[in-house]
Amino acid sequence: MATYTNEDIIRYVDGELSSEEKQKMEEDMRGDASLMAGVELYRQLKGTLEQRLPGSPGEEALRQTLGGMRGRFFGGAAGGGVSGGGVDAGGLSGEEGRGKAKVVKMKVRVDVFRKYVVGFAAAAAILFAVVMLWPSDYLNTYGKTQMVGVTERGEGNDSMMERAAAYFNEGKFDKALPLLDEVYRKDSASMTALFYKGVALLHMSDVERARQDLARVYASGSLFQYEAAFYMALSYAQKGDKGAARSWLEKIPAGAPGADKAAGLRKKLE
Amino acid sequence: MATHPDQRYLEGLLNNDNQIVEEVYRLFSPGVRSWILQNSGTEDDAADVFQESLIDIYNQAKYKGLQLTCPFQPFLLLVCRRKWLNEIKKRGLRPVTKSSDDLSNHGEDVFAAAERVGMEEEKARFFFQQFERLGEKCKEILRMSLTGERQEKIAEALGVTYGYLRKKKSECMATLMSYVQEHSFRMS
Repeated sequence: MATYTNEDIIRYVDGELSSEEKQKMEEDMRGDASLMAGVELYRQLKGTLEQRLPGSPGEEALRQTLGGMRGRFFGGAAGGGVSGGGVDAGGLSGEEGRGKAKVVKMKVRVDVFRKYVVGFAAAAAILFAVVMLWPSDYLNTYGKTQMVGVTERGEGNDSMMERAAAYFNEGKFDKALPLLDEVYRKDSASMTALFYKGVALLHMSDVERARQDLARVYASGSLFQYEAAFYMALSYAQKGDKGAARSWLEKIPAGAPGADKAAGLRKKLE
Repeated sequence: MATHPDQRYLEGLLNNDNQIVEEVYRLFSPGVRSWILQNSGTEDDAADVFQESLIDIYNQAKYKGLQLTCPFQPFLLLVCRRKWLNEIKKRGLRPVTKSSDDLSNHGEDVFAAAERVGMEEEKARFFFQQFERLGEKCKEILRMSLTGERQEKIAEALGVTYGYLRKKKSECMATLMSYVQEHSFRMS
């Protein structure tokens, strides 16, 4: 395969070679197992990404069904539940997290609102999340989350967002939610609104809807993608579903927003 | 080979059929739990392994058209066992019981099917781990390029020319391939 690069392989599979180049490559492939393996690898890689990159609402829905069953059929997870702090139920999380507060500072960018953000002071929001990992007051402790410095401008959605942020910061998620709903209804491209909506729903124990929103944010590839993945992981962790929580944490690469928190949570889950 | 009547369990997972899923848990979770508890696992481990194995099977049915040609019970048990054996290896633990016990009377096709599910899903996870190593720009380009949207439209959305997008996509894919090759992942 010495004369062919990965880009050549990609061009071949993607049908971007001239007929002469294609013919030559196919001749060479017959006598070159590693070249053939490279072509097969690219086909598999491309196929997998094409199938799974868009996200899978079906898998998400199934996970929720399975999550509902685990408490009924597995003893250690029976005490899970949204507010039950079941993550530690199996004793895998070790002792260090018990009763200790871990303070995590999370910086959140307000990315979109593109349609109606006009010339503006930069949008910036900082979410301070205080995460006490276990044992039983997980969700309530997580409720100390604060969002500050929302400075959006636009055609009405900005003030709605600011009001939502004010309620959000006071922990009045039930009041923030309709405002976030409205912002999102007016602009379905607003992953900012959808993200906070998901977080608010999570605080309100409406886990199913929270996951739908957060999964959508994740699948959108927006700048909130990894924060959304982190909250998805938290939602499963709270249910005592470590497998799904880990699966979401795996989606957060090193260096991504939320990676530090993800690493902390991952450690607790081990 | 003819599809086994237990294919209905796969259909149930694909359709997120609550009754079928409940039946799967009721009938098959005790065996898995028992085996994992005998092999250094906890109730939580068993619940995790059982659930993630069902997700793996779902993904294979959805993306690879998996058809069951053997009974579901030994197949699921073997998928779970494989997953748990990998996990305890990572944790540096040793299995206690032998893996051949009550499954020895099943045909090789059951073992082969379970192995294939495990391998394919490990491979998909591995691909995505490598994908996550890419820079944000590359990930964005690939995510948009590989999801069926017209390339011209994507180029416009990204504010680049069609030619640049094609070139960049190719470079990003080549980088991703090199990451995969770095790890010498065994292709099935």
